[in-house]
Amino acid sequence: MSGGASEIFVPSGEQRAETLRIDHGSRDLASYSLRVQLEAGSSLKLQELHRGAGRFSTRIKVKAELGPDAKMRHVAVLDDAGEGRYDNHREARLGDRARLDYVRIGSGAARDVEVLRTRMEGARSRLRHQALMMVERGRLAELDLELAHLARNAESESLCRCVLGERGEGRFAGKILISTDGNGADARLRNDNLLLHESAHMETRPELEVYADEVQCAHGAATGALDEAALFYLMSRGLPAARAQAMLVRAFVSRISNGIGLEEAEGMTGDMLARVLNDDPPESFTA
Amino acid sequence: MNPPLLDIRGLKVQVENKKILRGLSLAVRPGEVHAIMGPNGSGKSTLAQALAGRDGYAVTDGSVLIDNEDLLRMNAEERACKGLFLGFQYPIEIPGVSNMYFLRSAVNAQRKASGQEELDAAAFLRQARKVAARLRLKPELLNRGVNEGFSGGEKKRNEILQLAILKPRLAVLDETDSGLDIDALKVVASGIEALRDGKRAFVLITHYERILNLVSPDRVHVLAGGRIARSGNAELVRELEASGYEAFLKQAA
Repeated sequence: MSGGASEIFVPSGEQRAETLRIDHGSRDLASYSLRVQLEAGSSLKLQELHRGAGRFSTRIKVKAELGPDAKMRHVAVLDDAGEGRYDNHREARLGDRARLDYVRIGSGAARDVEVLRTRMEGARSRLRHQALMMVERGRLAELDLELAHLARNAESESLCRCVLGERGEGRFAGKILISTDGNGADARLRNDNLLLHESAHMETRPELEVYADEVQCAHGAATGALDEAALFYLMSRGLPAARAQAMLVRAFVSRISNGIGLEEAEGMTGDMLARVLNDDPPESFTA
Repeated sequence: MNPPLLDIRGLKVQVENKKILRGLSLAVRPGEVHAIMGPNGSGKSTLAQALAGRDGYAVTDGSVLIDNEDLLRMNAEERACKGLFLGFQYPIEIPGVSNMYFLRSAVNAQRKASGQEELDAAAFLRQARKVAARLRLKPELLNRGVNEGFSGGEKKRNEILQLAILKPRLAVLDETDSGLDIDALKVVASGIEALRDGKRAFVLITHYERILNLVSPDRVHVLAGGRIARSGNAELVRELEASGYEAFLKQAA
Protein backbone atom coordinates (compact mmCIF):
# COMPACT_ATOMS: atom_id res chain seq x y z
CA MET A 1 0.00 0.00 0.00
CA SER A 2 1.14 3.56 -0.54
CA GLY A 3 -1.60 5.23 1.43
CA GLY A 4 -4.97 4.56 2.91
CA ALA A 5 -7.59 5.80 5.26
CA SER A 6 -10.44 4.22 7.15
CA GLU A 7 -13.26 5.68 9.13
CA ILE A 8 -15.45 3.87 11.58
CA PHE A 9 -18.52 5.51 12.95
CA VAL A 10 -20.75 3.72 15.44
CA PRO A 11 -24.07 5.47 16.03
CA SER A 12 -25.52 5.88 19.45
CA GLY A 13 -26.49 2.63 21.16
CA GLU A 14 -25.15 0.33 18.40
CA GLN A 15 -22.59 -2.46 18.73
CA ARG A 16 -20.10 -3.30 16.07
CA ALA A 17 -17.06 -5.46 15.39
CA GLU A 18 -14.55 -4.51 12.70
CA THR A 19 -11.33 -6.02 11.43
CA LEU A 20 -8.87 -3.96 9.43
CA ARG A 21 -6.13 -5.84 7.61
CA ILE A 22 -3.34 -3.72 6.27
CA ASP A 23 -0.42 -5.12 4.29
CA HIS A 24 2.77 -3.14 3.91
CA GLY A 25 4.97 -4.37 1.13
CA SER A 26 6.06 -1.32 -0.76
CA ARG A 27 9.44 0.36 -0.66
CA ASP A 28 7.69 3.73 -0.78
CA LEU A 29 6.83 5.87 2.14
CA ALA A 30 3.22 5.12 2.91
CA SER A 31 0.68 6.50 5.28
CA TYR A 32 -2.42 5.11 6.85
CA SER A 33 -4.97 6.96 8.88
CA LEU A 34 -7.88 5.72 10.89
CA ARG A 35 -10.57 7.75 12.50
CA VAL A 36 -12.96 6.13 14.95
CA GLN A 37 -15.98 7.79 16.42
CA LEU A 38 -18.26 6.14 18.93
CA GLU A 39 -21.43 7.91 19.86
CA ALA A 40 -22.95 7.74 23.31
CA GLY A 41 -23.62 4.21 24.56
CA SER A 42 -22.19 2.48 21.48
CA SER A 43 -19.55 -0.20 21.47
CA LEU A 44 -16.88 -1.42 19.11
CA LYS A 45 -14.54 -4.37 18.96
CA LEU A 46 -11.75 -3.44 16.60
CA GLN A 47 -8.88 -5.53 15.28
CA GLU A 48 -6.21 -3.54 13.44
CA LEU A 49 -3.81 -5.96 11.87
CA HIS A 50 -0.69 -4.78 10.07
CA ARG A 51 1.58 -7.15 8.25
CA GLY A 52 4.86 -6.07 6.82
CA ALA A 53 7.45 -7.42 4.44
CA GLY A 54 10.38 -5.80 2.75
CA ARG A 55 11.72 -2.33 3.37
CA PHE A 56 8.50 -0.42 3.82
CA SER A 57 8.07 2.69 5.90
CA THR A 58 4.63 3.58 7.13
CA ARG A 59 3.16 6.41 9.12
CA ILE A 60 0.05 5.41 10.97
CA LYS A 61 -2.26 7.97 12.47
CA VAL A 62 -5.21 6.90 14.57
CA LYS A 63 -7.74 9.12 16.28
CA ALA A 64 -10.51 7.73 18.43
CA GLU A 65 -13.29 9.59 20.15
CA LEU A 66 -15.52 7.81 22.59
CA GLY A 67 -18.74 9.50 23.61
CA PRO A 68 -20.40 9.09 27.00
CA ASP A 69 -20.80 5.43 28.04
CA ALA A 70 -19.16 4.22 24.83
CA LYS A 71 -17.00 1.10 25.01
CA MET A 72 -14.19 0.14 22.73
CA ARG A 73 -11.90 -2.84 22.71
CA HIS A 74 -9.08 -2.21 20.28
CA VAL A 75 -6.28 -4.63 19.50
CA ALA A 76 -3.57 -3.44 17.14
CA VAL A 77 -1.01 -6.00 16.00
CA LEU A 78 1.90 -4.68 13.99
CA ASP A 79 4.02 -7.51 12.75
CA ASP A 80 7.07 -7.35 10.59
CA ALA A 81 9.47 -10.08 9.67
CA GLY A 82 11.35 -7.80 7.27
CA GLU A 83 13.01 -4.44 7.56
CA GLY A 84 9.96 -2.24 7.92
CA ARG A 85 9.45 0.94 9.86
CA TYR A 86 6.28 1.84 11.66
CA ASP A 87 5.68 5.34 12.99
CA ASN A 88 2.45 5.47 14.96
CA HIS A 89 0.69 8.46 16.35
CA ARG A 90 -2.42 7.59 18.27
CA GLU A 91 -4.85 9.73 20.16
CA ALA A 92 -7.92 8.79 22.12
CA ARG A 93 -10.44 11.01 23.86
CA LEU A 94 -12.84 9.51 26.36
CA GLY A 95 -16.14 11.06 27.40
CA ASP A 96 -18.05 10.53 30.63
CA ARG A 97 -17.97 6.88 31.75
CA ALA A 98 -16.45 5.85 28.43
CA ARG A 99 -14.23 2.78 28.51
CA LEU A 100 -11.29 2.02 26.25
CA ASP A 101 -9.32 -1.23 26.29
CA TYR A 102 -6.36 -0.85 23.99
CA VAL A 103 -3.86 -3.64 23.38
CA ARG A 104 -0.84 -3.02 21.20
CA ILE A 105 1.33 -5.91 20.03
CA GLY A 106 4.50 -5.45 18.01
CA SER A 107 7.14 -7.80 16.71
CA GLY A 108 9.68 -5.00 16.66
CA ALA A 109 10.10 -3.90 13.10
CA ALA A 110 13.46 -2.44 12.17
CA ARG A 111 11.93 0.58 13.87
CA ASP A 112 8.55 0.55 15.61
CA VAL A 113 7.65 3.78 17.31
CA GLU A 114 4.34 4.45 18.98
CA VAL A 115 3.28 7.75 20.43
CA LEU A 116 0.05 7.40 22.37
CA ARG A 117 -1.87 10.25 23.89
CA THR A 118 -5.06 9.44 25.77
CA ARG A 119 -7.24 12.14 27.22
CA MET A 120 -9.76 11.10 29.80
CA GLU A 121 -11.97 14.14 29.46
CA GLY A 122 -15.07 12.55 30.92
CA ALA A 123 -15.78 11.84 34.56
CA ARG A 124 -15.47 8.14 35.54
CA SER A 125 -13.91 7.24 32.21
CA ARG A 126 -11.67 4.17 32.20
CA LEU A 127 -8.63 3.24 30.20
CA ARG A 128 -6.91 -0.11 30.17
CA HIS A 129 -3.77 -0.15 28.07
CA GLN A 130 -1.41 -3.02 27.41
CA ALA A 131 1.55 -3.16 25.09
CA LEU A 132 3.79 -6.06 24.20
CA MET A 133 6.84 -5.44 22.08
CA MET A 134 8.99 -8.30 20.88
CA VAL A 135 12.23 -6.66 19.82
CA GLU A 136 14.12 -9.09 17.71
CA ARG A 137 17.76 -9.00 16.81
CA GLY A 138 19.10 -5.51 16.12
CA ARG A 139 15.68 -3.86 16.05
CA LEU A 140 14.17 -0.89 17.82
CA ALA A 141 10.91 -0.36 19.64
CA GLU A 142 9.88 2.84 21.26
CA LEU A 143 6.77 3.64 23.29
CA ASP A 144 5.92 7.17 24.28
CA LEU A 145 2.75 7.38 26.35
CA GLU A 146 0.84 10.08 28.06
CA LEU A 147 -2.26 9.10 29.97
CA ALA A 148 -4.04 12.29 30.91
CA HIS A 149 -6.68 12.38 33.62
CA LEU A 150 -8.61 15.57 32.91
CA ALA A 151 -11.87 14.88 34.76
CA ARG A 152 -12.93 13.48 38.12
CA ASN A 153 -12.76 9.82 39.12
CA ALA A 154 -11.13 8.51 35.97
CA GLU A 155 -9.21 5.24 36.09
CA SER A 156 -6.26 4.14 34.02
CA GLU A 157 -4.06 1.09 34.04
CA SER A 158 -1.15 0.59 31.70
CA LEU A 159 1.17 -2.38 31.43
CA CYS A 160 3.96 -2.48 28.86
CA ARG A 161 6.23 -5.46 28.48
CA CYS A 162 9.19 -5.62 26.14
CA VAL A 163 11.32 -8.64 25.26
CA LEU A 164 14.64 -7.72 23.72
CA GLY A 165 16.92 -10.11 21.86
CA GLU A 166 20.51 -9.67 20.78
CA ARG A 167 21.27 -5.98 20.06
CA GLY A 168 17.59 -5.22 20.50
CA GLU A 169 16.94 -1.70 21.60
CA GLY A 170 13.92 -0.44 23.49
CA ARG A 171 12.79 2.87 24.86
CA PHE A 172 9.85 3.53 27.09
CA ALA A 173 8.63 6.91 28.24
CA GLY A 174 5.34 6.75 30.08
CA LYS A 175 3.67 9.59 31.86
CA ILE A 176 0.57 9.77 33.99
CA LEU A 177 -0.69 13.32 33.94
CA ILE A 178 -3.41 14.32 36.38
CA SER A 179 -4.74 17.80 35.92
CA THR A 180 -6.29 20.02 38.60
CA ASP A 181 -9.68 18.64 37.47
CA GLY A 182 -8.53 15.05 37.95
CA ASN A 183 -9.39 14.49 41.60
CA GLY A 184 -10.38 10.94 42.45
CA ALA A 185 -8.02 9.53 39.80
CA ASP A 186 -6.80 5.97 40.11
CA ALA A 187 -3.81 5.56 37.80
CA ARG A 188 -1.31 2.76 37.45
CA LEU A 189 1.57 2.50 35.01
CA ARG A 190 4.09 -0.29 34.77
CA ASN A 191 6.88 -1.19 32.39
CA ASP A 192 8.64 -4.58 32.63
CA ASN A 193 11.45 -5.58 30.32
CA LEU A 194 13.18 -8.84 29.68
CA LEU A 195 16.66 -8.81 28.20
CA LEU A 196 17.56 -12.06 26.48
CA HIS A 197 21.08 -11.04 25.60
CA GLU A 198 23.74 -8.93 27.25
CA SER A 199 23.90 -6.70 24.17
CA ALA A 200 20.18 -5.80 24.43
CA HIS A 201 19.50 -2.32 25.72
CA MET A 202 16.47 -0.74 27.34
CA GLU A 203 15.83 2.77 28.53
CA THR A 204 12.77 3.29 30.65
CA ARG A 205 11.29 6.43 32.12
CA PRO A 206 7.98 6.15 33.96
CA GLU A 207 6.77 9.53 35.21
CA LEU A 208 4.03 11.10 37.26
CA GLU A 209 2.83 14.67 36.85
CA VAL A 210 0.08 15.37 39.32
CA TYR A 211 -1.75 18.65 39.90
CA ALA A 212 -4.75 17.31 41.85
CA ASP A 213 -4.82 16.53 45.57
CA GLU A 214 -6.96 13.40 45.92
CA VAL A 215 -5.43 10.79 43.68
CA GLN A 216 -4.09 7.26 43.82
CA CYS A 217 -1.12 6.66 41.58
CA ALA A 218 1.48 3.98 41.12
CA HIS A 219 4.21 3.73 38.58
CA GLY A 220 7.20 1.50 38.23
CA ALA A 221 9.61 -0.25 35.92
CA ALA A 222 11.85 -3.28 36.07
CA THR A 223 14.41 -4.61 33.63
CA GLY A 224 16.22 -7.89 33.98
CA ALA A 225 17.31 -11.16 32.46
CA LEU A 226 15.52 -14.50 32.60
CA ASP A 227 15.30 -16.03 36.06
CA GLU A 228 18.28 -18.37 36.16
CA ALA A 229 16.67 -20.56 38.83
CA ALA A 230 13.52 -21.04 36.76
CA LEU A 231 15.58 -21.81 33.66
CA PHE A 232 17.56 -24.44 35.54
CA TYR A 233 14.38 -25.94 36.97
CA LEU A 234 12.97 -26.48 33.48
CA MET A 235 16.25 -27.77 32.09
CA SER A 236 16.66 -30.14 35.03
CA ARG A 237 13.57 -31.93 33.73
CA GLY A 238 15.11 -32.47 30.31
CA LEU A 239 14.01 -29.42 28.38
CA PRO A 240 16.67 -28.04 26.03
CA ALA A 241 17.89 -24.55 26.93
CA ALA A 242 16.21 -22.85 23.95
CA ARG A 243 12.87 -24.51 24.72
CA ALA A 244 13.10 -23.62 28.40
CA GLN A 245 13.91 -20.03 27.48
CA ALA A 246 10.96 -19.86 25.07
CA MET A 247 8.66 -21.17 27.81
CA LEU A 248 9.80 -18.49 30.23
CA VAL A 249 9.42 -15.76 27.62
CA ARG A 250 5.90 -16.98 26.89
CA ALA A 251 5.20 -16.87 30.61
CA PHE A 252 6.48 -13.29 30.77
CA VAL A 253 4.28 -12.12 27.91
CA SER A 254 1.27 -14.27 28.80
CA ARG A 255 -0.43 -11.63 30.91
CA ILE A 256 -0.88 -9.66 27.71
CA SER A 257 -0.90 -12.31 24.99
CA ASN A 258 -3.43 -14.56 26.75
CA GLY A 259 -5.95 -11.80 27.23
CA ILE A 260 -6.36 -10.49 23.69
CA GLY A 261 -9.79 -12.02 23.31
CA LEU A 262 -10.23 -11.24 19.59
CA GLU A 263 -9.62 -14.30 17.48
CA GLU A 264 -7.69 -13.07 14.45
CA ALA A 265 -5.48 -10.75 16.51
CA GLU A 266 -4.84 -13.61 18.92
CA GLY A 267 -3.89 -15.96 16.07
CA MET A 268 -1.56 -13.39 14.53
CA THR A 269 0.08 -12.78 17.89
CA GLY A 270 0.51 -16.53 18.41
CA ASP A 271 2.15 -16.89 14.98
CA MET A 272 4.39 -13.95 15.68
CA LEU A 273 5.51 -15.37 19.03
CA ALA A 274 6.16 -18.77 17.45
CA ARG A 275 8.31 -17.11 14.80
CA VAL A 276 10.23 -14.88 17.17
CA LEU A 277 10.77 -17.63 19.76
CA ASN A 278 11.25 -20.35 17.16
CA ASP A 279 8.94 -22.50 19.25
CA ASP A 280 5.58 -24.12 18.72
CA PRO A 281 2.71 -22.50 20.60
CA PRO A 282 1.75 -24.38 23.75
CA GLU A 283 -1.21 -26.68 23.50
CA SER A 284 -4.15 -25.59 25.49
CA PHE A 285 -5.48 -28.52 27.45
CA THR A 286 -6.85 -28.92 30.89
CA ALA A 287 -6.51 -31.86 33.17
CA MET B 1 27.35 -57.21 42.65
CA ASN B 2 25.84 -54.82 40.09
CA PRO B 3 28.07 -52.04 38.83
CA PRO B 4 27.13 -48.65 40.29
CA LEU B 5 24.45 -46.58 38.60
CA LEU B 6 26.02 -43.50 40.17
CA ASP B 7 29.73 -43.54 40.85
CA ILE B 8 31.18 -40.44 42.50
CA ARG B 9 34.89 -40.34 43.19
CA GLY B 10 36.82 -37.61 44.99
CA LEU B 11 34.32 -34.92 44.03
CA LYS B 12 35.35 -31.37 44.89
CA VAL B 13 32.93 -28.54 44.27
CA GLN B 14 33.16 -24.86 45.01
CA VAL B 15 30.54 -22.15 44.91
CA GLU B 16 31.68 -18.55 44.50
CA ASN B 17 35.25 -19.65 45.26
CA LYS B 18 34.18 -21.27 48.51
CA LYS B 19 35.14 -24.93 48.77
CA ILE B 20 32.06 -26.91 49.75
CA LEU B 21 32.64 -30.51 48.70
CA ARG B 22 36.16 -31.63 49.52
CA GLY B 23 36.59 -35.05 47.98
CA LEU B 24 33.29 -36.87 48.23
CA SER B 25 33.01 -40.47 47.06
CA LEU B 26 29.80 -42.45 46.81
CA ALA B 27 28.61 -45.44 44.81
CA VAL B 28 24.89 -46.10 44.37
CA ARG B 29 23.80 -49.32 42.71
CA PRO B 30 20.55 -50.02 40.88
CA GLY B 31 17.72 -50.82 43.28
CA GLU B 32 19.36 -49.09 46.24
CA VAL B 33 18.12 -46.26 48.41
CA HIS B 34 20.85 -44.17 50.01
CA ALA B 35 20.17 -41.57 52.65
CA ILE B 36 22.50 -38.63 53.07
CA MET B 37 22.28 -36.85 56.39
CA GLY B 38 24.39 -34.21 57.95
CA PRO B 39 24.46 -30.86 59.69
CA ASN B 40 23.49 -27.61 58.00
CA GLY B 41 26.18 -26.35 55.65
CA SER B 42 27.84 -29.73 55.22
CA GLY B 43 27.33 -29.71 51.44
CA LYS B 44 24.22 -31.86 50.97
CA SER B 45 22.37 -29.46 48.69
CA THR B 46 25.59 -28.55 46.91
CA LEU B 47 25.99 -32.22 46.04
CA ALA B 48 22.43 -32.33 44.66
CA GLN B 49 22.81 -29.15 42.60
CA ALA B 50 26.25 -30.11 41.30
CA LEU B 51 24.96 -33.53 40.21
CA ALA B 52 22.08 -31.88 38.34
CA GLY B 53 24.48 -29.51 36.58
CA ARG B 54 23.56 -26.13 37.92
CA ASP B 55 25.70 -23.19 36.81
CA GLY B 56 27.81 -21.74 39.58
CA TYR B 57 28.59 -25.11 41.14
CA ALA B 58 32.11 -25.54 39.87
CA VAL B 59 33.56 -29.03 39.94
CA THR B 60 37.27 -28.58 40.55
CA ASP B 61 38.25 -32.22 40.88
CA GLY B 62 36.92 -35.76 40.88
CA SER B 63 34.63 -37.72 38.62
CA VAL B 64 30.96 -38.67 38.43
CA LEU B 65 29.74 -41.50 36.26
CA ILE B 66 26.11 -42.37 35.59
CA ASP B 67 25.66 -45.72 33.96
CA ASN B 68 29.37 -45.60 33.29
CA GLU B 69 29.09 -42.33 31.35
CA ASP B 70 30.73 -39.09 32.38
CA LEU B 71 27.95 -37.05 33.97
CA LEU B 72 30.11 -33.97 34.33
CA ARG B 73 30.48 -33.57 30.58
CA MET B 74 26.71 -33.33 30.16
CA ASN B 75 24.63 -30.19 30.50
CA ALA B 76 21.58 -30.10 32.77
CA GLU B 77 19.04 -31.33 30.22
CA GLU B 78 21.31 -34.13 29.04
CA ARG B 79 21.67 -35.32 32.63
CA ALA B 80 17.88 -35.39 32.97
CA CYS B 81 17.53 -37.28 29.70
CA LYS B 82 20.16 -39.72 30.94
CA GLY B 83 17.84 -40.52 33.84
CA LEU B 84 18.86 -38.15 36.63
CA PHE B 85 16.08 -36.36 38.51
CA LEU B 86 16.62 -33.68 41.14
CA GLY B 87 13.78 -33.16 43.60
CA PHE B 88 14.20 -29.55 44.65
CA GLN B 89 14.35 -28.46 48.26
CA TYR B 90 12.55 -25.29 47.22
CA PRO B 91 10.62 -26.00 44.02
CA ILE B 92 10.51 -22.93 41.78
CA GLU B 93 7.27 -21.12 41.00
CA ILE B 94 6.89 -20.31 37.32
CA PRO B 95 3.66 -18.37 36.77
CA GLY B 96 2.46 -18.45 33.19
CA VAL B 97 3.90 -21.89 32.36
CA SER B 98 1.14 -24.46 32.76
CA ASN B 99 2.08 -27.33 35.04
CA MET B 100 0.76 -29.91 32.58
CA TYR B 101 2.24 -28.28 29.50
CA PHE B 102 5.63 -28.14 31.20
CA LEU B 103 5.50 -31.72 32.36
CA ARG B 104 4.33 -33.08 29.04
CA SER B 105 7.08 -31.11 27.27
CA ALA B 106 9.61 -32.60 29.69
CA VAL B 107 8.31 -36.14 29.17
CA ASN B 108 8.44 -35.72 25.41
CA ALA B 109 11.89 -34.11 25.47
CA GLN B 110 13.16 -37.15 27.38
CA ARG B 111 11.32 -39.59 25.11
CA LYS B 112 12.73 -37.88 22.05
CA ALA B 113 16.26 -38.05 23.51
CA SER B 114 15.89 -41.81 23.93
CA GLY B 115 14.41 -42.30 20.46
CA GLN B 116 10.85 -42.94 21.62
CA GLU B 117 7.73 -41.47 20.07
CA GLU B 118 6.16 -38.49 21.78
CA LEU B 119 3.26 -39.14 24.11
CA ASP B 120 -0.04 -37.75 22.87
CA ALA B 121 -1.97 -35.31 25.02
CA ALA B 122 -4.80 -37.69 25.91
CA ALA B 123 -2.52 -40.52 27.05
CA PHE B 124 -0.42 -38.09 29.03
CA LEU B 125 -3.45 -36.53 30.74
CA ARG B 126 -4.84 -39.91 31.74
CA GLN B 127 -1.55 -40.79 33.35
CA ALA B 128 -1.16 -37.40 35.05
CA ARG B 129 -4.67 -37.48 36.52
CA LYS B 130 -4.12 -40.99 37.85
CA VAL B 131 -0.82 -40.16 39.52
CA ALA B 132 -2.16 -36.86 40.91
CA ALA B 133 -5.10 -38.70 42.48
CA ARG B 134 -2.73 -41.22 44.06
CA LEU B 135 -0.65 -38.37 45.47
CA ARG B 136 -3.80 -36.55 46.61
CA LEU B 137 -2.81 -33.53 44.56
CA LYS B 138 -5.86 -31.38 43.80
CA PRO B 139 -6.76 -31.68 40.10
CA GLU B 140 -6.95 -27.89 39.68
CA LEU B 141 -3.25 -27.65 40.52
CA LEU B 142 -2.46 -29.49 37.30
CA ASN B 143 -3.83 -26.58 35.31
CA ARG B 144 -2.10 -23.80 37.20
CA GLY B 145 1.30 -22.33 36.48
CA VAL B 146 4.17 -24.52 37.69
CA ASN B 147 3.99 -24.45 41.51
CA GLU B 148 2.13 -21.14 41.27
CA GLY B 149 0.39 -20.44 44.57
CA PHE B 150 1.03 -24.01 45.77
CA SER B 151 1.50 -24.58 49.49
CA GLY B 152 4.83 -26.00 50.63
CA GLY B 153 3.35 -29.49 50.80
CA GLU B 154 1.71 -29.19 47.39
CA LYS B 155 5.03 -28.16 45.86
CA LYS B 156 6.68 -31.29 47.27
CA ARG B 157 3.84 -33.49 46.03
CA ASN B 158 4.23 -31.86 42.64
CA GLU B 159 7.89 -32.86 42.67
CA ILE B 160 6.83 -36.45 43.35
CA LEU B 161 4.23 -36.19 40.57
CA GLN B 162 7.03 -35.23 38.19
CA LEU B 163 9.16 -38.06 39.55
CA ALA B 164 6.36 -40.58 39.06
CA ILE B 165 5.69 -39.48 35.50
CA LEU B 166 9.28 -39.00 34.36
CA LYS B 167 10.35 -42.29 36.00
CA PRO B 168 14.06 -41.46 36.23
CA ARG B 169 16.68 -44.12 36.83
CA LEU B 170 18.29 -42.07 39.59
CA ALA B 171 16.39 -39.64 41.81
CA VAL B 172 18.24 -37.27 44.10
CA LEU B 173 15.65 -35.85 46.47
CA ASP B 174 16.87 -32.81 48.33
CA GLU B 175 14.94 -32.51 51.59
CA THR B 176 11.71 -33.49 49.90
CA ASP B 177 10.40 -34.38 53.36
CA SER B 178 11.02 -30.99 54.96
CA GLY B 179 7.96 -28.92 55.76
CA LEU B 180 5.53 -31.79 55.29
CA ASP B 181 2.85 -32.80 57.77
CA ILE B 182 2.50 -36.48 58.64
CA ASP B 183 -0.15 -37.21 56.00
CA ALA B 184 1.78 -35.44 53.26
CA LEU B 185 4.94 -37.24 54.30
CA LYS B 186 3.18 -40.61 53.96
CA VAL B 187 1.91 -39.66 50.52
CA VAL B 188 5.36 -38.56 49.38
CA ALA B 189 6.96 -41.69 50.87
CA SER B 190 4.44 -43.96 49.18
CA GLY B 191 5.15 -42.16 45.90
CA ILE B 192 8.83 -43.01 46.28
CA GLU B 193 8.13 -46.58 47.41
CA ALA B 194 5.87 -47.13 44.37
CA LEU B 195 8.84 -46.50 42.10
CA ARG B 196 11.29 -48.72 43.94
CA ASP B 197 12.39 -51.62 41.83
CA GLY B 198 15.60 -53.37 41.05
CA LYS B 199 16.59 -50.87 38.33
CA ARG B 200 16.03 -47.45 39.87
CA ALA B 201 18.01 -45.87 42.67
CA PHE B 202 17.32 -43.04 45.11
CA VAL B 203 19.50 -40.66 47.05
CA LEU B 204 17.45 -39.09 49.84
CA ILE B 205 18.95 -35.99 51.39
CA THR B 206 17.27 -35.41 54.69
CA HIS B 207 17.59 -34.06 58.19
CA TYR B 208 15.01 -36.32 59.75
CA GLU B 209 14.52 -39.92 60.72
CA ARG B 210 10.80 -39.89 60.02
CA ILE B 211 10.97 -40.29 56.20
CA LEU B 212 13.51 -43.07 56.67
CA ASN B 213 10.98 -44.93 58.78
CA LEU B 214 8.70 -44.93 55.73
CA VAL B 215 11.31 -45.39 53.00
CA SER B 216 13.82 -47.79 54.36
CA PRO B 217 17.37 -46.97 53.18
CA ASP B 218 19.93 -49.56 52.14
CA ARG B 219 22.79 -47.28 53.14
CA VAL B 220 23.04 -44.18 55.29
CA HIS B 221 25.85 -41.65 54.97
CA VAL B 222 26.83 -38.74 57.16
CA LEU B 223 28.14 -35.77 55.21
CA ALA B 224 30.32 -33.41 57.22
CA GLY B 225 32.87 -30.88 56.07
CA GLY B 226 32.25 -31.73 52.43
CA ARG B 227 33.06 -35.43 52.71
CA ILE B 228 31.29 -38.63 53.66
CA ALA B 229 32.34 -38.90 57.28
CA ARG B 230 30.66 -42.21 58.01
CA SER B 231 28.47 -44.77 56.27
CA GLY B 232 26.33 -47.51 57.67
CA ASN B 233 22.97 -49.19 57.50
CA ALA B 234 19.61 -47.96 58.81
CA GLU B 235 20.89 -48.37 62.38
CA LEU B 236 23.06 -45.30 61.85
CA VAL B 237 19.94 -43.14 61.59
CA ARG B 238 18.90 -44.05 65.12
CA GLU B 239 22.42 -43.48 66.36
CA LEU B 240 22.41 -39.99 64.83
CA GLU B 241 19.02 -39.20 66.35
CA ALA B 242 20.49 -40.05 69.72
CA SER B 243 23.92 -38.49 69.46
CA GLY B 244 23.63 -35.72 66.84
CA TYR B 245 26.40 -34.53 64.53
CA GLU B 246 28.78 -32.97 67.01
CA ALA B 247 31.36 -35.72 66.79
CA PHE B 248 31.38 -35.48 62.99
CA LEU B 249 31.73 -31.72 63.08
CA LYS B 250 34.76 -31.98 65.35
CA GLN B 251 36.22 -34.63 63.10
CA ALA B 252 35.67 -32.49 60.01
CA ALA B 253 37.12 -29.31 61.57
